[in-house]
Amino acid sequence: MLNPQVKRWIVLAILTGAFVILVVNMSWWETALRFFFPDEVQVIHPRANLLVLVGEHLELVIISSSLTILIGVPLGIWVTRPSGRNFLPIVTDVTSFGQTFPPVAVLALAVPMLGFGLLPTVVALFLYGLLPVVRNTIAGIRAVPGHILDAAYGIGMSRMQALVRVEIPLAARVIMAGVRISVIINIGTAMIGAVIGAGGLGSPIVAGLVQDNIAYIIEGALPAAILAVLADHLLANVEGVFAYSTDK
Amino acid sequence: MIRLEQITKCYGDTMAVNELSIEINEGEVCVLIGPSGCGKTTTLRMVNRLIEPTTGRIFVNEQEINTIRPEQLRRSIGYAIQSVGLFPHMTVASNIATVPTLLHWEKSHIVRRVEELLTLVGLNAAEYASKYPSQLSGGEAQRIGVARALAADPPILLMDEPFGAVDPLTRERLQAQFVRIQQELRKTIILVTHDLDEAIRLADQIAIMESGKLVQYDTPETILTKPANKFVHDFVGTDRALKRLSRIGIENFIKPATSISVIASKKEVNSICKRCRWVWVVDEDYRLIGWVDRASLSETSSVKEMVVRGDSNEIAVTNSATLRETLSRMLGQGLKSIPVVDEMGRLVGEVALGDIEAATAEAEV
Amino acid sequence: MIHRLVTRDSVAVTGSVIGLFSLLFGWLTLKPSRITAGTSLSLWESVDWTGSAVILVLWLVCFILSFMGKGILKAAILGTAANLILIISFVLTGPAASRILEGEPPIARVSLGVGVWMTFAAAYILVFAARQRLDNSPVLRNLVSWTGLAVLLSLLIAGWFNDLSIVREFIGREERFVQELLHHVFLVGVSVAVGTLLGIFLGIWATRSRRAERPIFFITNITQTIPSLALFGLLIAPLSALSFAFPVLREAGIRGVGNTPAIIALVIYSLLPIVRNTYVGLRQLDPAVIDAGLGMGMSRSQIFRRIEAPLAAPLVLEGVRTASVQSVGLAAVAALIGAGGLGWFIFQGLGQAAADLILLGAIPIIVLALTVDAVMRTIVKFATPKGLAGGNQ
Repeated sequence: MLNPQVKRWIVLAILTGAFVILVVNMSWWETALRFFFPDEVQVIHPRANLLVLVGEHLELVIISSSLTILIGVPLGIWVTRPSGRNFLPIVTDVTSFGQTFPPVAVLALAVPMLGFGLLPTVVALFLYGLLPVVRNTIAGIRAVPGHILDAAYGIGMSRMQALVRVEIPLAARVIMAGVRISVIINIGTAMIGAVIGAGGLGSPIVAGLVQDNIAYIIEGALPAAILAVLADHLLANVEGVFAYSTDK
Repeated sequence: MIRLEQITKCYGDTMAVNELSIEINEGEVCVLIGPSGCGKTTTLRMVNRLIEPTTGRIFVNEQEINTIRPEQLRRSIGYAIQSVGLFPHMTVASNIATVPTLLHWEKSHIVRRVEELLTLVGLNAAEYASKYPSQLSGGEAQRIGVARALAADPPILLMDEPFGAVDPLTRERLQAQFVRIQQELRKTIILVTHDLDEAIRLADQIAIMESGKLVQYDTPETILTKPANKFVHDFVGTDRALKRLSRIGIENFIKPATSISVIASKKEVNSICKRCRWVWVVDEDYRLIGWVDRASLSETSSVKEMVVRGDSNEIAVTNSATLRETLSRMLGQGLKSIPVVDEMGRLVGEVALGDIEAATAEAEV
Repeated sequence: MIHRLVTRDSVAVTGSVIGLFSLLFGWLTLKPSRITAGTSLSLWESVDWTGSAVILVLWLVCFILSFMGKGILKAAILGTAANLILIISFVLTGPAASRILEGEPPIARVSLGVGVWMTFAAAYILVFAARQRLDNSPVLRNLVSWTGLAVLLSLLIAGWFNDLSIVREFIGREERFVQELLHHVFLVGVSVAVGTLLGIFLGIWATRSRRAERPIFFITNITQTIPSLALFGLLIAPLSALSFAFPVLREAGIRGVGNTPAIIALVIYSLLPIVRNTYVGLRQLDPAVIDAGLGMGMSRSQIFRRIEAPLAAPLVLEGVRTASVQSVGLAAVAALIGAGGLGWFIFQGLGQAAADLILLGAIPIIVLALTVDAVMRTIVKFATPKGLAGGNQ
C-alpha cells in the first residue's frame, strides 16, 4: 500500500481540486442557494463572484503571511544568536502577551493609524501573525539537542553553517507549526477585514447581515470554512515532511 | 605532534585545568583518564578550540592553534563524542560525508569514501548508507560517529568516551575494532575515558589527571608497575597483574579444539578423541552449540540426545577477547579450557588455563 | 570599544532611543470634528516648554543610564525615570487638551497622536529592562512595574483626561458602555461555563473510549480552524429557520442573529482547548499511581476524585484560561451579528470613521482580555498541588 504520507497528499489534492471546481462554478451556487432560499430576490452578492472573493481573501493572507515569515523567522533566529540574546526575554514576553490581544482589536487599532482598505488589514495581519511564528522559531531552535550542535561545531561547521545545515532543518517542523497557526488566524481575521474595505470572503457575510439576506451569508461563510480547513490540513502535511526523530 | 604547554582553564574561581603540559607523538594513542571533574574532557575540547584556554598554548605540528580559524582547525581534526550527535535529518551517508562536503570534495570521491568508511567500521555499506539515525542501534550509531570523524582522513582524532553509551558486550567488540583500525591507520588520537580497563587496553600513553592537574603520564605498563603516587596507586587498584592481561588478545593462545558434529555417532566420537572426556559439539555450519560428556553416550543415546546445549555468549569467548576476559570466564565457570568462536558463532579453537597461567607468570618478570 | 559600549544593555538603549524619537512625532491631534482628520501638534506645541524639556532630560537620563552597568541602584533609577516620564507627560496632557480646545467650536476634538503610543512602547521597554535586573527586590520590582499605570488609571477615573476625544466618546455613552461591557462579560462567562462542562465531559469520554477519541478530536480540531465570522454565519441560517418554524423560540429570545448564534459558536470554540487539556491532564498520569491506589483498596471513583482530578485540574484550568481569553476576542466579533458587547463600539466607530470610538471599543477589550488572562493564571497557580509547581508551564 502507499505510504500514509503520500495518501494524505493525494486526498488533499482531490479535496482542493473539488473546492476549486465548486468555487468556479457560480451557477451551482445559485441553484443551490435558490433552492434553500426561494424568497430572496438575489442570492449571490452582486459585488463580485466567488472566485474573485476567494482570490482577494487569499491575497490578503498570502501577502501578510509571507511578510510574517520573511521577518518573523529571521527575528526568531536572531534572538537566539549571541548578538541578539539581550532581546530574547523581551521578545518572548511580547510574543506571549501579545497573543492575548484579540485579533479584532489589533485590526481595529490599525484603522486610525492607517486608514481603511488593504493596507491596515495587511499590516494588522502581519503584526498579529508575527507572534506565533517568532515564538515557534525561538522554541524550535532552542529545542535542538545540545549534543548535536556540539557535534556540528566539533567537526568543523562554522556558526552559520551549523545554523543552516543543522539547526534550521531540525527546527523546521516547529516553525511550520507556528506558520500554520498564524495562517489560520489570519484567514479568520481577514474575514473581518471586509468591514474595513479589504474585500474577501467576509464581504458577502457583512452584506448579508446588513441586508438581512441569509443566502449572502452562506455564500461567504461556507467557502471560508472549507478554505480554512483545507489550508490547515495542507500545512499540517507540510509540517509532517519535517518530522525527524532526535533520539540518537 | 600535539603539544600542550602550561594549559590552564579557569571558570570563575574554579580551576578546571591547572598548568597541564603534555606532548603526544604522531601515531600514538593518548588516553586522558581520571575521576569525574578532573578536567579531562575540558582538556580535550581545548585541543579543537571548542573551549579556549585561559592561559597556555597548544601546538599542532608546531603551529599554534589559535592562529588558525576554529572551523578550519576542526575540519582537520576528527571529533567523536559519547552521545554521538548524528544529525537526525540526514542519512548515514550524508552524516559521514559532512566534513568532505564542507571541504568541497568531488561528489564521486565522497561516495567512495563513505563506502570505504562503512566497511572499515564493519557495516554493510549498501545497507546502511541510506538509513536514518533513528533506525540505528547504539553500537551502530557509535560506529558511524567514528566513521564520520574519520571521513576527511584527519591526522588527529579526538574522542570523548566514544564507547561509553553501549552495553558491555558491544563495547568489547567496538574496542577490539578500534585496536584493529588504529593498527591500520596509525592516527594520532586523544581519547577520554573514565574506564581504566579501556585505557589500558587502548592506550600507548596514559595521562592520569586529578582536579585539573596531570599526575602521571606514562605507558600503561609503567603506570601499572610503577604508580607515581598514592592517588595513582589507588586509582589503578590492586589487581594490576590482571589488568595487564587486558592488553593482550587471545589470538596467540588459541589451540585447535576437538569437536564433533551434533549428528555424529558414538563410534565417531570415540575415534576422534581417545582421552578427552568432554567434547565440543557443533552444527552443520560449524557453529558451537554445546558440549557432550563421552561417558553419557551409549548404544542407545546419541550425541544429539545427550548434548548439553549452551549459549555461545556464555560458554565461549570471541576471538577478539582479551586474556583477562577469558581468564575471568574460565574461573567463573570452573573450566580448564574454553572454546573460542568467531562473530558468526563458529568454533575456531580453544584456550587452556595452563597457557594463560604461563603467560601471566612471564609478564610478572 | 563602541561595540563594548553598545552591549551594555541593548534593551534599555532601544527603549531610550524610541523614547527620544517619540518627541519628533505628533503628541496630540486637533480635529475640527470627530470624523475629520486634524492637525498634528508636537509635544512642545501641546504642553508647555518646561514640561517638554523635563521629559527630554528624562529620556536622556535613561539613555545614559543604559550604558552604565547593571547594578540594582541604576535599575531602580531607570525604572523610576520611565515611570516619571509617563506620569509627567500625562499629568501635563490632561490640562493641555483642555487648553487646546479653548476657543474651538464644541464639536472639535483632541486625540492622542503617534508620539503617545511610542512613549508607551518605550516606557514598557525601559520598565522591562529595569525589572530584569531587580529580581532580588520584589518590592522595587513591583513599584517600577505598576506605579506609572496606577497613577494614570487614578487620573483617568478622577476625570483628568475628560477633554480627550476618547473620553468624550465615553462620556456621551456611559450607560451604553457599561451595558455593553456587562453584556460582553455575560457572553464570555456563559459560553466558557457551558464550554467547560461540555469540554470536560467530552475529554473524559475521550480518555475512556478509544472509539470516541478520534471523532471527538477530529470535530473539535476542525471547528477550531473555522473562522469565527464564518461559523457565526453558518449558524445563522439554521437558527433563523428554526426560529421561524417554532415561534415559541422567538418568544424566548432565540433568534437567527444576536446572542444565540454567538453563544453557540463561543461554546464550540471553547471546546478544543478544554477537551484537549482534560484529555492530556488525565492521560499524563503514571499508570503506576492508579495501580497503587487500586492496590490500597480505593474504588475507581475515589481514585478519580482524589488522585486523577486534582492532578489534572491545573491543566484543565489552563485550557479554561485559553478558552476565556479567546472568547473575549470572539465576542467582540459577535457584535457584528448583533450580539452586542464591546465590539459594538468598534464597528460603530468603523462605520462612522470615528477613530476614538474605535479606540473606546478596542482598548477596553484588550484590557479585559489581559485581566481575564491574569485572573485565570492566578487561579491556575492556586489550583496546582504543591508538589507539582513548575510542572505545567
